[in-house]
Amino acid sequence: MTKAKISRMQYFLLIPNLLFPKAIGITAGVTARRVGGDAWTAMSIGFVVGASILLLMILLSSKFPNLTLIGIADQVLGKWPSKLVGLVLLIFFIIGFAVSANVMTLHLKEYFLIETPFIIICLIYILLCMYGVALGVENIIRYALLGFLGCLLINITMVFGTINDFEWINFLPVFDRGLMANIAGSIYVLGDLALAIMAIGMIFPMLNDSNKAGWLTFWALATSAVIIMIWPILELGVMGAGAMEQYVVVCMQQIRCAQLTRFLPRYELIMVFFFTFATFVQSATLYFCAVYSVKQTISVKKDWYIVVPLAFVLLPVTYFMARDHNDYVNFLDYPWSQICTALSIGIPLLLFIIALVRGQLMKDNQSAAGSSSA
Amino acid sequence: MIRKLVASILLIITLVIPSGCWDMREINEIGLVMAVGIDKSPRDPNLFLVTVQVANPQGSGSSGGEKQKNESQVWIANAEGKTIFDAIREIARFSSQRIMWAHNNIIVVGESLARDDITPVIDFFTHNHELRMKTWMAVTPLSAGDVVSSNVGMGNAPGRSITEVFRFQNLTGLGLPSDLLNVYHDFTSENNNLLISSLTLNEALTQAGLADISENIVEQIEVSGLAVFDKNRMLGYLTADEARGLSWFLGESPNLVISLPHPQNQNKSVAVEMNAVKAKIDSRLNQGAPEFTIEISGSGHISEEDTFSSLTINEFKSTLENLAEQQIAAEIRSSVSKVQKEYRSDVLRFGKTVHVQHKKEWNRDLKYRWAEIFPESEVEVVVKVSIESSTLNQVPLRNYKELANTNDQSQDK
Amino acid sequence: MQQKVSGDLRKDEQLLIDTIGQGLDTEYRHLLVPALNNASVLIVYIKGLINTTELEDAIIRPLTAPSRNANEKGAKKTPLPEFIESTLFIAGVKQSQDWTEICDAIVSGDSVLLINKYDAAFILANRGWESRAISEPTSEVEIRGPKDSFVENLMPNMALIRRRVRDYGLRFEGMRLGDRSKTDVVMVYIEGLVNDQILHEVRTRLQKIKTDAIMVSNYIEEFIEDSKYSIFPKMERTERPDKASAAILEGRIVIMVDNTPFVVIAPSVFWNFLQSPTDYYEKYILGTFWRSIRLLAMFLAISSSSAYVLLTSFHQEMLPTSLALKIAADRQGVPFPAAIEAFVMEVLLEVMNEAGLRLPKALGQTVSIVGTLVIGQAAVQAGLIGPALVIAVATGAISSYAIPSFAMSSAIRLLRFPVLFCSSLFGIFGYLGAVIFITLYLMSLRSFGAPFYSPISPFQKDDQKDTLLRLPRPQMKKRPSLAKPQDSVRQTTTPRSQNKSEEGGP
Repeated sequence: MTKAKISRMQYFLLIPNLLFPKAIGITAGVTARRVGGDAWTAMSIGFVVGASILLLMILLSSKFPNLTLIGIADQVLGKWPSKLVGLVLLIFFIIGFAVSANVMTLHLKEYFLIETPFIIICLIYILLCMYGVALGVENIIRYALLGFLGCLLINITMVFGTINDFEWINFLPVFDRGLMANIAGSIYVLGDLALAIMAIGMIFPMLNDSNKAGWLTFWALATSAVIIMIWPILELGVMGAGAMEQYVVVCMQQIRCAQLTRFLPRYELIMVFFFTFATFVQSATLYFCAVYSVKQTISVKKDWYIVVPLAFVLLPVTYFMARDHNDYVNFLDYPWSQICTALSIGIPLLLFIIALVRGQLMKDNQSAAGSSSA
Repeated sequence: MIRKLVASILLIITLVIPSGCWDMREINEIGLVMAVGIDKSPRDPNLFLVTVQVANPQGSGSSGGEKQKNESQVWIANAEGKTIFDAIREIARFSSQRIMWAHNNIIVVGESLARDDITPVIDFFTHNHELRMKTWMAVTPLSAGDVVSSNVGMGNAPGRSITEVFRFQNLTGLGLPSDLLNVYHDFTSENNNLLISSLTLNEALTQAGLADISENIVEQIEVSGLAVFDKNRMLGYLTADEARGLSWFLGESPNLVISLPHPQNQNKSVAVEMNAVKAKIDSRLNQGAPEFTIEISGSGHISEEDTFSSLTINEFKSTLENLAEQQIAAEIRSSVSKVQKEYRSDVLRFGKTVHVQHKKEWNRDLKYRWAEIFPESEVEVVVKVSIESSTLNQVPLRNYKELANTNDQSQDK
Repeated sequence: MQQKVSGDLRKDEQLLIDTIGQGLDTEYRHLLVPALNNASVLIVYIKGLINTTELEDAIIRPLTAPSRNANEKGAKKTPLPEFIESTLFIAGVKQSQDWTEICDAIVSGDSVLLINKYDAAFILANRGWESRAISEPTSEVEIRGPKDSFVENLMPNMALIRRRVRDYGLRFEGMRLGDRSKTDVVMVYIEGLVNDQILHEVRTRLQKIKTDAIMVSNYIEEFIEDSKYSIFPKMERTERPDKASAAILEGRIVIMVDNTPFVVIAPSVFWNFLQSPTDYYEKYILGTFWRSIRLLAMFLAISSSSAYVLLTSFHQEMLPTSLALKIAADRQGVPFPAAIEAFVMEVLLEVMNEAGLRLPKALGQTVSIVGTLVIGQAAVQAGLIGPALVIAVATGAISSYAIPSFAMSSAIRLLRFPVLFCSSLFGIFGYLGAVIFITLYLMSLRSFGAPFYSPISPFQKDDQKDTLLRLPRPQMKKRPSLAKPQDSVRQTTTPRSQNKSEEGGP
């Protein structure tokens, strides 16, 4: 698995997949509850902040070629602190997986499989992700193309289905609750971006050509921002802030309002059809990252010995996190987003500063020509 | 080895999972609700009376071809309950089919319930994942059960023909497209109050010349105006004509027809069909008190002239433009003042306008006193109509015999 | 058998009889050759496998002719091999001492000539057996394009390719596999174009095969393919020489097996199975259109019956109201849930399909009448199944026939059972789970180093010209990177220089 290589194209497509599912489904609602009609501005701010952290991460990674976040910690901090970082990341990825998996399971539980026991849905989804991880990270990332196409198709069909009900007046007034509230609300997007930032910290060394990786990441992030921001904007334009605040899964509510012509009045099934691919890529990547951080921390030769026991950990975490969906959303509201923000800013920044102080950044300065954009 | 293990685990899982099929429901075992009516129970005002119109697939056309004549297309059931959900469970108990809401077209609310509190209805139907947000919603002065169980229209299922009535609403302007999405949006918003279309039943004659006159009369559903709400309570109705006045600036692309007096003969009319109507509400603060301007602009074309005229087309058009502007402004003014003075409830999105345009003042104090300020605010109506076409005609309708006469008379004078 | 030819004719004959027996078809023909001082010779051959006329006219007649120089004692110094080669009117003569080689030659259809007091045998190539003439392809019918197809015989097959590819570098690398069947297997490729690593890989995998018999090419496939338990075919098979030649020209390797009219094309990816030679024989727009239709057909083949179950048993809200009512009306009184109904219908369809494949032509009509009338009409009228299901199942069946490759189409037909099963358990979730599982699996497969799902994912920009799209021929300047050809340029800018045959020669 260590020899796995991903191409630039795959890397580019992976980033939207890592962000899209949770951002459109849950985050918009969480943000709207905090800042009302300004959800879209708050999310935009979140993207700008998140982008700079992500680029910092890339800058850091390209100074230490072929090293994951844990590997960098090992170089910079020493052996034992790096084990600690590994443990923190493992827990982060386990919870991150559960958060991501529950985006999917909640869609299903609330709109499609009302009577199916929740544990069964979780179990099957985890098994599916486990299969993906067992086949190797390359295959998961190959799936990113399908996931990305799925995202585009949902967007196109959703825009067609709801544009008739779109009202600009719902946007106004902008910054109703003040700029500070907006900035505070952007933390929820950082919660999503943190998953991507950490995952990229683990996956970046696999990129086969890291030339100008900073720009590549930047454009990938810009693309993701465009396809994601369509959602809060249309959700707001169609439903209004009041309705956005009301629901757990806002994107499904948006979908309930969509009408693809009079002859095909329902859209839910189409949405879930395209949505699943991206969610699968997100969840499976996080699963893989969890496996990989175990592997980097304690050297186990066979992936198999990590993948299976991890599934037994993930199942209860996923199940208990969202068995009551109010708890799930409350957890995202507090403390998950705050923890994510702290970690995603903290770890790269900490490593960066210590490395800077120790002068380790100077050594490979040439190899990081493309990261100047950070 | 990994693959083998995964495969074997999957195999075990599929064997272990009891073949549950928890959510499987056969399509022929569910009752597709076409329309639902909700009233207060006549027996006990604390109970809801829910009437559902369920499609009977056998009646509405099997592929066999010959449709049984006496089988009704729909099946009506009602039940009471402490909550709406309760009542619906009650229906499921004695019906042979499980109720499914996904294909519901319209929700009708009885006036008595609406006057009391409409919250349970809005909540239940937005809370239910099966329902679409594009379902129509209406209030009726009659009992909702009667409206739902009336056998109307020419379409196959009555519930669906009601939808058609709503679909062409922008041509009549008698109501507003009050679908669940709009209703919910207004209901949850901090500025607006609800406006829901109202439905009545009327008797009408069928074309079929049946012997018995009573068989010739069928009930027919009509959109009859709007119900005005304050928060969750209905206050009263706007008649169809008053609703038209609001449609000009609240409706979606209202292609309304206005009848104007003929410029040369007050007893005859000219019909002008308006299109591309754009509305804009502007607000300004006059010493802290908001004032509003409703600007309407649109183009029209002359569709019918009931008498002849000698005017040139340009004179004719400009006269009609003036008349149209006056009439539209009058319609709007009367409706707006009725809303302001009689109902004192902001269903006109004025509050939203102030919020958008004067955010600071709104957040500081206006929003807390809005209920008092709204009825007192000044409203100015500015209408700009340009008649761009006289539909096929190049000159206004001429009749040269008559024209000669009128010319003679005018010369005599 | 390490023995060598002893030179003692009697002993050698006994040894041969011990080895290959004295069966009805084996002939031991003794002659005296006047030209060799009436030396006693033995010709051994298998009767059905040789060209009898050639044996008589080109071997026996010259051998038994009275010696021209019998009287000239001095001139009788010609060495034996030269004498044989110049006397016999036969294309191939080979001298051998090795018993294994000699016996192999006999059972392969050559005649073997043994001469008393000479410790080597002559293998005379006069094979010639009854064989089917080259005819139209039966399983890969195309509207346009050549109408010839491979036959069971290796020689004409190789000729069919050589006639299309006259490149100097074209190689037919033979080997003999199967301890008992001793089947000839030939790797065909263009040297200088084929990727040496892949070639080496194919060669080693072939050489590793240790089995008793190779009956058809599928035996080889199963031995050399990457994931042996996979349901998908990972090598293309074709009976069309044009398709095989095109593959060779892309740098891929064709494996021919004696006695099989189908050849195997070595690195193949998933999308190859959706392509058909006609795509290249008609206008490019049509080619692209057909490919998209096939993709759609594949999707339908997997999911049409599942979609029916999904929509009627789980997600009725997705049906337009009038359609929902129609289906509900038609399903009144149907005794089984839609899932069981669909399952039974699919199984019945497969049974009919299987029955139809092998029936004698005369019976075929009966089956189709029974099938359509009983299953299509009567079952619907009797209210056992809903008519919409019949449409769904039939759509799936027809769609599966639109996939050009029989192996892929069968794999997909089989796969719709698990998909249907999952859909009946969990609705859309089950369906999507199954689809993701299958696509993931497809992406994880490899065919001789090429990722099976490429060039779509991993994405190869240049290869898009000929995967789902089919661009005009002049646009396809490069060969597909699938087989990593040594020379990837198919043509330069002008379409005139298509004929690049000088590239490969060693």
